[in-house]
Amino acid sequence: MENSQTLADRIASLWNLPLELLEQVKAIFAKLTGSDQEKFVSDLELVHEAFEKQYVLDEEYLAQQEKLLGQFEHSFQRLEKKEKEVQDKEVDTSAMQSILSQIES
Amino acid sequence: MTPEQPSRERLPSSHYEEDGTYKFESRDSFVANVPNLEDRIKAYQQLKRTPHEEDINALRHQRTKERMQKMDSVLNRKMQLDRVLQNKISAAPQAMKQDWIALRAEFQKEFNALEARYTNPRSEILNDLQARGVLKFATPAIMQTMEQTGDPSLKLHLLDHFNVLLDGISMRIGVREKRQERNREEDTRQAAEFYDTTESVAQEFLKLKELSTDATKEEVAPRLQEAAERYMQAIKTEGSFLYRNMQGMEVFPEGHTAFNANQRIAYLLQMRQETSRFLSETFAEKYQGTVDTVQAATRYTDYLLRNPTQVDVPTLQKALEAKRKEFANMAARTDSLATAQVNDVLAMDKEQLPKLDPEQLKTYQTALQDYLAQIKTEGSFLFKNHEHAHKERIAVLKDTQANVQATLRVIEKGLSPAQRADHMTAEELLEEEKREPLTDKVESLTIEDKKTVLRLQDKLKKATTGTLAEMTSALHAAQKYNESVASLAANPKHANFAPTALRAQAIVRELETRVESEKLKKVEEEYDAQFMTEGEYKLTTDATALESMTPEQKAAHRALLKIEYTFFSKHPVLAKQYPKRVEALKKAGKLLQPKKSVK
Repeated sequence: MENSQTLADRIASLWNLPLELLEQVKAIFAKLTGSDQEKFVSDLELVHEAFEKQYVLDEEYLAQQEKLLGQFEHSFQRLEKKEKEVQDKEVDTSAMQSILSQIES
Repeated sequence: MTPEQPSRERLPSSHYEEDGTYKFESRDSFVANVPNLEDRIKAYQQLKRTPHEEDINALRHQRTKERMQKMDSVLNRKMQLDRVLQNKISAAPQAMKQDWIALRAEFQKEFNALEARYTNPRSEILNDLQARGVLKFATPAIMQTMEQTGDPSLKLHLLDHFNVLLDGISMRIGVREKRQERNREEDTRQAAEFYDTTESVAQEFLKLKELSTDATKEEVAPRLQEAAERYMQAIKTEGSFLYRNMQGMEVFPEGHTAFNANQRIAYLLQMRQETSRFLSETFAEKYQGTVDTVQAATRYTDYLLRNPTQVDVPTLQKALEAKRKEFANMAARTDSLATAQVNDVLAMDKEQLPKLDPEQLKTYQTALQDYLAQIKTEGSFLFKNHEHAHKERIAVLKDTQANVQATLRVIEKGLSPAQRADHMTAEELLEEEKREPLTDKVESLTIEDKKTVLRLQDKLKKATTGTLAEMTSALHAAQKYNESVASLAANPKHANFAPTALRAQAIVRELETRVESEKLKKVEEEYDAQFMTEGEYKLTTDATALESMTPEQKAAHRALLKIEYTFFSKHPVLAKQYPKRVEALKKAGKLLQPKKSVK
């Protein structure tokens, strides 16, 4: 059976646990004994592992969102350019019509 | 120890094995020098060694901070793009509308699909934890053990602990993001509502301001004042809301002009200053009390903007309750001075009054003057403390004040010159001096003395509303005038100077009172600025609160109380105004004195 110090070291190395939980974890650990301590630490390691998987997943999700945003921002600019061209064209047409109507009158 | 700033650079490839793990030839020194924080911790773990605690903590902070920043930035960009697309759909030319609608639909579809792709893997992580028995940790056997060790609360701790951990995992992005988005939408809607209210109140105020010409000034003034105050209030409400909830954000409310929260806050601050200045300039003389209230409101807004989370409701309620009692006491004092004698004289035929015996008149005069002084005290107190809530009482006080003053003027006609001079204001005395220019008729009054009179007249004009320096200057001129006139009156040849000398003395007395009261006001302001926040003492003298302090807090608090006590010692006039506070400071000082150790 591992001694308390080694188990405590294992808890300390769980660097992905939120800091505010760590103090709570340490306090609980101090009150446990023997095999309970071991089970507690190995469960914590599983939770820690889950956090890490979650972190990687979240990073990937955020990166995907950023990528998608970049694409849409680009599409937005393209469409805005097109809109400006349409508006300019409308202005040109109406100016032309006004000149024509002046000539005709 | 301050954690080092992590570098994102990786080591050259020669430091890694083919499978991407570190080469551990000179392990300890090598690992200690790995520049990237995350890599360094992983390296320690590969070595089966515990990483440095400061490295672990630094990494926790770094990850949390980076994650939050990234999430906020992505969420902001997403919401902004969605709003801009919505605006485009409503404002685009007909030929482009369909393009924008299609782009927004695609945008929503893609983001929903992306979110769905990540929902399952998240659930899998949770399922995996359950499958590996983590959730079974708090088994009955373990709980029983906990209870046997005499600490039944421990099982609750454990359950809580795991619930928090698991909640944390499921909340990480999906749920948190949704909640954040919901809150932000609600805040955006609220910000737009406040924006519209402020602008509509501003329009009302500006309209009235335009209406207020020289001809209509008097008529428009009360409504203009009210509108300006409502505008100040709206600015305060909107400003503090934006400051608390939306700093640094682009706000895109539905069907509303988009705006930048910081720019809007800056604009509101500028408007508040301008409106406040307008109020003090426009209503300075006529609505002195209102200006004080506005200044107080401005100070309160400043306070809220500086300390958005510091609004202590119970303390405010307590302060309000104390204020209410103060109002009631003040009104009771005024009413107690409206004795039967005072009411009789006020109801008397004014033409008959001067014919009464001068001694009787003197008694009436004293009673009316006391009553008038209390009316003024209560009136100015009500003005300075939210006059809106006391309009009716103020109107009654104003009417009574006018009646009392008129009666006093009639009484004064029946009094001897000396009796009259005793109770006239400096301006009234000088007016009288101009009506009966005794000084001009006496050859012995030097040209210098005559110049002094002229200077005095000029200075007295400024003394009523002027600065302390102007009042002091008027006082000096009056003293000089008084000396000249007194020396003349002392000569039996110039016995007719006696009334002038009495008036001169009265002018000096009145100005002395004004200067003293102005000085007191200044000291009070200085005191408020140093020792009070929003009408509450910053420092406590409450024995129970003092007892519960740690020795260090006691020492620090005692030092501060000492500063306040010294302030009172330097300004005995102020100490007279606050005798209870001075007494409390003394007691608190004694309570906080370090106890001498017994040998």
